[in-house]
Amino acid sequence: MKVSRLETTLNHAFLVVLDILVLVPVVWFALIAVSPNRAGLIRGVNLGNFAEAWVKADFAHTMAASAVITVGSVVLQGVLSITAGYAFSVLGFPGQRAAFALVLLGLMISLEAILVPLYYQMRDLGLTDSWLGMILIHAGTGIPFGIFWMRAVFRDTSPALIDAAHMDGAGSWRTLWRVLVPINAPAVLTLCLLNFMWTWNDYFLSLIFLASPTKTTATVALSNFQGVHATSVNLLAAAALTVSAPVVILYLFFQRRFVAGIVSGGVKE
Amino acid sequence: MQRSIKRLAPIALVAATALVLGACAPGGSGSDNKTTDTATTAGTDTTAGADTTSDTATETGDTTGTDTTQDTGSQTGGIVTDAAQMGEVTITLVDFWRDAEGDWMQASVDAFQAKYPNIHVNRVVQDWSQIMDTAPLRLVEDDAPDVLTVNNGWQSLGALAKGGLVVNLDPYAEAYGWDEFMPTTIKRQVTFTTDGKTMGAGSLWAAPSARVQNIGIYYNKTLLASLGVEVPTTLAEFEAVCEAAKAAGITPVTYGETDKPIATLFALQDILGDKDAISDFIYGSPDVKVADTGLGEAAARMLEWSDKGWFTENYQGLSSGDANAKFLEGESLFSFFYSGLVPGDQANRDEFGYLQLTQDSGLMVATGAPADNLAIGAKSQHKDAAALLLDFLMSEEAAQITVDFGYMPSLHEANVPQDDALIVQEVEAAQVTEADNGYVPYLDWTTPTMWDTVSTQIQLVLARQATPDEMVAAVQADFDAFLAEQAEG
Amino acid sequence: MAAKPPASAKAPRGRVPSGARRRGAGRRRWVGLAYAAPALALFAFIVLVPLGQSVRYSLYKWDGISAGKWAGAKNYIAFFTDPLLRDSLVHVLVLVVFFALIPTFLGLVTAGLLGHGRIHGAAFHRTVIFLPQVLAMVVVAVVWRRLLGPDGPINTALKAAGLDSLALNWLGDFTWALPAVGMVGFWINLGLCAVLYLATVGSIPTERYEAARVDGAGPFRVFLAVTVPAMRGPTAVALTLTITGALRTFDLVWNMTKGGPGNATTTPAVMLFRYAFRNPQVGQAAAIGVIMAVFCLLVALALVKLTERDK
Repeated sequence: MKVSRLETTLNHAFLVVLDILVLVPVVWFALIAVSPNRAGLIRGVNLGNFAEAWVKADFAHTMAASAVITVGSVVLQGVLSITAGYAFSVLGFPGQRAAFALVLLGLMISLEAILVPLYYQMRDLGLTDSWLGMILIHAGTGIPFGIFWMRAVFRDTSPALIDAAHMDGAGSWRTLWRVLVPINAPAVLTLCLLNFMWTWNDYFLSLIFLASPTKTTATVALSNFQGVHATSVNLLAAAALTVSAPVVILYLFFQRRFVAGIVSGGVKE
Repeated sequence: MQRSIKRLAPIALVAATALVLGACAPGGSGSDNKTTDTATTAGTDTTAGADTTSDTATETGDTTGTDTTQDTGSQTGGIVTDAAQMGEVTITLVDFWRDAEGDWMQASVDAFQAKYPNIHVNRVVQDWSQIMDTAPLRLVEDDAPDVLTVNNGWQSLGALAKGGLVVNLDPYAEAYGWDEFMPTTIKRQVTFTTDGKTMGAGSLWAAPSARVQNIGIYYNKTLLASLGVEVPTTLAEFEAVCEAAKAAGITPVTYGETDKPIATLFALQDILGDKDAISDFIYGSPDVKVADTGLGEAAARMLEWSDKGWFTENYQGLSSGDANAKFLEGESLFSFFYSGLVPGDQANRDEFGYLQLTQDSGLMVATGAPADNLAIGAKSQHKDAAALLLDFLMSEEAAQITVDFGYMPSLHEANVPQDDALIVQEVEAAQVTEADNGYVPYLDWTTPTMWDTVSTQIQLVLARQATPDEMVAAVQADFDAFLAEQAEG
Repeated sequence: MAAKPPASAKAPRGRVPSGARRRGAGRRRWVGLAYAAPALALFAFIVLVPLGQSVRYSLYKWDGISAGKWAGAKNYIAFFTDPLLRDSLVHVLVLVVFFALIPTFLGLVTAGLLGHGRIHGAAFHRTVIFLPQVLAMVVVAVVWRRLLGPDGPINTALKAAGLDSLALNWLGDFTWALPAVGMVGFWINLGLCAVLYLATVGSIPTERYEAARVDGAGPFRVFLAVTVPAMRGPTAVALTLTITGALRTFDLVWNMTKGGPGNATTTPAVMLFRYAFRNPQVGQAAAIGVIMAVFCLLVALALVKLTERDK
């Protein structure tokens, strides 16, 4: 059966409508961000807004905080998920089924359920208002999805490959890092990208766990900026674009991975 | 994963149940103890600490009076007031002053550091709401701030004092002689009994700044002149001016409500209510009902103004900051706000005047309190240095810095620049209020939840989701619930 | 939750026996434990221990400072009886309609309308319509607060079109603030649903459509007979993601309305934040958290059951 011309046109028209729906607010805001008009009217171009917003929102500190927390969390969650996923799929271990049930439980509950005690627990350990604490929290709450994801990836890897590695005398560690991880690089990348996005975009945890203005993240800085400089709309827009930039740039390069990860149901607590 | 969930769902549920039971089971016999432990780990320690401090101080306070302290500058029962004996220390100050007002606070801190070079102040500026929301949590951390902004009332300082999270300042007040210049009305605002049951009596828990903020009315002189009317002094005159302004196409009253402001409501209450009733209600007297305080009348008046279109257009979608930005740009006539709305360095500062309306009785009543109240964290390692900072921020020198930045001084006389018409007006109004004994505290101090209750209720009234009577009933219910809880302990 | 294996999956699912079983018990199983232990330890420390604590806290009346008092089920009862908390629950159910039901329904309908042919520039369209999913909620809130402002472009456009009466104070209006927040959720999730469905439509073999048409089925019957059954998987994923997302709404509301005007846009997460921090009633906050977790769990399990049974 051939797809009719009308059908193709309809498809296109529909997608274009969706495109417009999404892009209008975004483009409008981008134009405000470069406009010299403080009241948020689109009036020409002034790239100095970004520099001014950078200083006023204290992005020198807060973007660095976001970067440290995000990179730390991505690496930690990545490594732990890969090793645990390997254990769950290939090696096996006593109590595996019960452990996996708990992982599934972790996938399904929401962050709010643990928030309050987690706060008191971290505080008792001196891990509030601390980047290390944030890294642990982000990695820990991302682990259920990470294990789930890597387990599925490794389960679907041909056992012949693993056996071949064993024949060559590779130990479990070598098999994992030299064989399994490289051939599943795209799936590992997806996991890292998702975790990058979740951590970078986080607001709730940073709001609660980071008190010092010098330690807090860019998303919280943006929210504060909205409160303090409410009347400089162009600077607010510039600040918003700056905060979004790292994830959006990654997204433009790896959109296929992002989409695949999210539509496969990627969630973090 | 659909399939695997299906298979594992029962296990997950069982595991969840086991987890829940597991969490409770060990506590089953001793769970009460356990939670109490967690709950009070910090609390008990710090309370004990605070008690010790105050005990020591009371004992020694008798023998070493203020004079001795000043003469020798030496130790009095563990308290050091001489900076030279404190060594090189760094203390953290958390406050919320930004922009022009931030410059004022920074100048005050700079002057302190210039005077005491061995004491370094690490000033951390945060949002007001963030400080208020997180203070109980931050203050038990190891690197808790030494000095931080607190709000009067039960939501902030009351809870902190009750929980022993801030230091009882009585010994310092004694050592420095703060009572000599601190008016009782102001002192009362930051006192709570040590059992945490009563506000307005007992020990001192925070030190006011040498800057006061009253709720009053700012006006645009040019717009007022264009109407050809006198500055109003009573509510009737004020409303007549608003009527004229509206007719002339000028927005009479600046208002924006998304941030749930209360200044306009409280200012009207001060004009319409009985000052003693307001004060007594706020300090928790069960004999006074909120219905006697003029709150309902004030809300009804605001509703009337809203219906007449006197408020800033689209006020439901604006914050008070948005609306006041318009006011400062000359787009509306009056603004009910806290002293300091027009910054000292505002280019068109001359454009603005300040007024307070009198009650029908001729009395001038205003909601007023120090602009900032600073407490010392119970975990502070440098309480003496922190107290020295508080002492400085209450000093004559600090009051002068306040005036120099165009704000209202408090606690001490200061040289008000007579060429700054606005501050002259503000200070005059404050003097009349003082003479009429007309200061009342803020209604939202009454209970820990009163700010939420009253600020939400006025939005409901203006949106006709509640009547002023229903608002009064809701406020009374909040108050009654709190009294019941206090009684229960 | 993942409904299908990652893109890299090559081997058919379910046929690969667990490596452990294949190699039998022995030393390797303990090696496996060593590999799993660090992740499980962190998971237990960050998630499981606090989860258990949450349940315990929720049974106490505790202000976070002084000693807690046993409260039994009071905090749970309050969630359904306290007017403020009950309202927040109602609000979040309204948000579920906007965040989840409408985008999913529209996604399903368009999947039926749209053909199943190759779409030119599919990658471009996908990149664009999926964009809201990767933006931080804070950024989305900042953008939409301006869009919906009294002088914002939406009102300007309405006025330009002569619809002055529709130019409302969206976020300041007791009636419209919640739907306005809902619209933003719709904007965020529409792309997700569209991408999910379009990907699935594209993967339905054309032969099935042909077979149905040969059997004399009209377009609507084709939709019911071919498209809808294929959509069960993506629907479950879409609903799970969007409903749990809606139930947990915090960032968006907090940065757009702070729960106002009045309490017109409060959600359980906003109430949890208030109870946990502003006027600490930690037990109540924990109870809200536990109830929300149970809701999310039930939604996930219900959707799994639903899709399984239909098969």
